[in-house]
Amino acid sequence: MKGEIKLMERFIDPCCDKCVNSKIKPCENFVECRLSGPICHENKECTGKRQAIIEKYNHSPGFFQH
Amino acid sequence: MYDKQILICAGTGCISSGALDVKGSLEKELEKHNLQDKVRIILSGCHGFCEKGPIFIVYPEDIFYCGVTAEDMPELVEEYLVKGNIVDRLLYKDPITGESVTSHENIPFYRQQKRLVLRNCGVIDPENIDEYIIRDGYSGLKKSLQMDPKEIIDTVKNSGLRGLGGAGFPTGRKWETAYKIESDKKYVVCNADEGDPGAFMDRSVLEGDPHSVLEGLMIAGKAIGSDEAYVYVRAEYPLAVRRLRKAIAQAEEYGLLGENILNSGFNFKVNVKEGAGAFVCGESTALVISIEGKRGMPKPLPRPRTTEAGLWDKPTLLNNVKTLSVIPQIINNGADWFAGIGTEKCKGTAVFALTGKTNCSGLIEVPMGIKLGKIIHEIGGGIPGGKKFKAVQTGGPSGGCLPESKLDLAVDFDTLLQAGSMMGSGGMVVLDETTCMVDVARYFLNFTVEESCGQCTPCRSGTLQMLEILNDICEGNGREGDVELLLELGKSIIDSSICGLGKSAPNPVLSTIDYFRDEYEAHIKDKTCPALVCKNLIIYDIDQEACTGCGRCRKNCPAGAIAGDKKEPHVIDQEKCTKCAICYDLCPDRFSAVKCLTGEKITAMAKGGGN
Ligand SMILES: Cc1cc2nc3c(=O)[nH]c(=O)nc-3n(C[C@H](O)[C@H](O)[C@H](O)COP(=O)(O)O)c2cc1C
Repeated sequence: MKGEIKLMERFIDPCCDKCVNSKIKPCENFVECRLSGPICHENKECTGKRQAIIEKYNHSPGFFQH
Repeated sequence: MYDKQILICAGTGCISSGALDVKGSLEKELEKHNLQDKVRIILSGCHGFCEKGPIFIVYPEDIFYCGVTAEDMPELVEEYLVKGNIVDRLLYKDPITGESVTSHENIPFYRQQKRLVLRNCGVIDPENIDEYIIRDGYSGLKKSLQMDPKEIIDTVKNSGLRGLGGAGFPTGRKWETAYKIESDKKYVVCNADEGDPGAFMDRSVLEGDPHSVLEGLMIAGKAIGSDEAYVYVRAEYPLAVRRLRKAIAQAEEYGLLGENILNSGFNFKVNVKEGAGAFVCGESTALVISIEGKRGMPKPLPRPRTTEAGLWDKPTLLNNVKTLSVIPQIINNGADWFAGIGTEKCKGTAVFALTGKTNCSGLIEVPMGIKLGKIIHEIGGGIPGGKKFKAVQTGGPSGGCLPESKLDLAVDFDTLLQAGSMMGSGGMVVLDETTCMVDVARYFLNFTVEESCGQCTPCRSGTLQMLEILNDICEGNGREGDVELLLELGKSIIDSSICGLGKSAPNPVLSTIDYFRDEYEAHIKDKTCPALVCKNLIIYDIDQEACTGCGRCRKNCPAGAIAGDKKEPHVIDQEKCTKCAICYDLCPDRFSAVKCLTGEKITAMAKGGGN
């Protein structure tokens, strides 16, 4: 169903049907989009899904930042 | 969301110290306490402090536990994760004060370091591309895809980056040459051969941060107009190879490697070639031949540069693992950022495998220009057992030994070379007063003799001649004039060998003659080994007045060379003694009855003078 919110467990997963990144048609903004997107549309839940991945993996920001 | 995240170092060193058992035991304990959904376990790459492994860090509070075992897990989970009490016995202990240190930031081994190449090692799960992306991974690639090749090359040139594979050749200049050569096909090659004994810098980067190397390769490819790369890595590095292959598969899945990367029209493929582990295959022309499937030997002179005619005679850009892994940060942060670190002529950082006689050893990264003494005495924590520092060997088998008078040297490519050693790819072995410098030179030369491809006479026969002279000296058969002969041979091997292996092989001998000539003379003229190492020049003897006849030496002598009644002074039968030093090591300090003698003292003893 269009616009349905799916699980985004990894950055490669689309946040929703609006994400058109694929191997055949790669999105040029893929990297920025995953870090601070979505870029091509606005959706708080889509932003939240990215944030959840970032928070999960940003476990040791302090190591060697001194 | 997790309450805690635990990073367990899963570099080769920590795995061999039991890191995977620690993980298994931790998982069981977490389940027992129903914490499996609250605590996430991450297997990271190398933290560098291999000597204290397995390393175990708990976030968000950043508690640094070291030397943990599977058996420690019940206590760690119960006490720390459940009750919140720090388990003091597993914390790092300062070797001088004996005090416990909770955070890595306060451990001198880490405090003096600056990590660029090793930025993600020990910080991320190297098998998870998302963790790399979160730490700005592939942002440099994205940026470079929007840049003109010249712009990328200028950025690398202006950064001042010099190749970290050993020779310190300016990276931007090499890229420019490769870019300017017109060809229908060009290659980029990553040199991960790492053949120096004791070196594990490149292995750790591949194990701990493989995506950074892939990203560096792609940026290099974009800059010079290449669409294909090879990583030449020794098969003896199975974990590095596995993680690299996994990283390639992930990057391909993400569309960050392959066709039309990020819709830019840029295509790039990375192949992995496993080498058989010959030291000479790290030399650029031998490496290229080995990738082509032939026996890896340096090309005869005159030969074109690899940049002009390398793999299958196509222009080939060859860079070391560390050089490539720092490239994404240079593109991301700009040339000035990188140029602001290090010295005027050597920018950025140097990575060393610090080993030998130091209290703390492992993998370190320091800004270029740091004082040699600071590395040894502050990061390395000084010499253990109250012994005196004697020398530091840098640059692996191609390098040299520097004495105490050089500890004030600001470490970089040029200063080390001027002092008679070299940076090499980063081996750093600290030697104390119990090391014989002639024996050290012999050890390194033995390595190069074995690793010489045998193609050119000076390297094949010349190094063997030098080794035979060194063997004679160490065995007490040295002759007047041997030192001069070594100097002459060394010079002619350097002048006439066809590749860097032969050209640098005499370095450990020449530098030890330069700084420790008196030790050579003592071996030759006085038949003395001042460090009491060379077996033919020493004997063990028991001081009859100091010996109480405790029998410890007699019971443990593997050669049955010690005799004596209980509570009576013992004697060593010199005919049977194999000089294993077990008696010397076992004799209690309060007696110190077993003596090691050399030179005149042996003669005096033989004449019945005792010791
Ligand atoms: C005998 C010999 C062994 C070498 N081994 C290595 C090696 O293991 N890794 C490496 O990067 N460079 C090694 N080099 C240096 C390479 O030939 C080459 O200079 C280097 O890979 C270039 O990379 P860089 O410009 O990034 O330093 C070796 C050179 C010689 C002569």
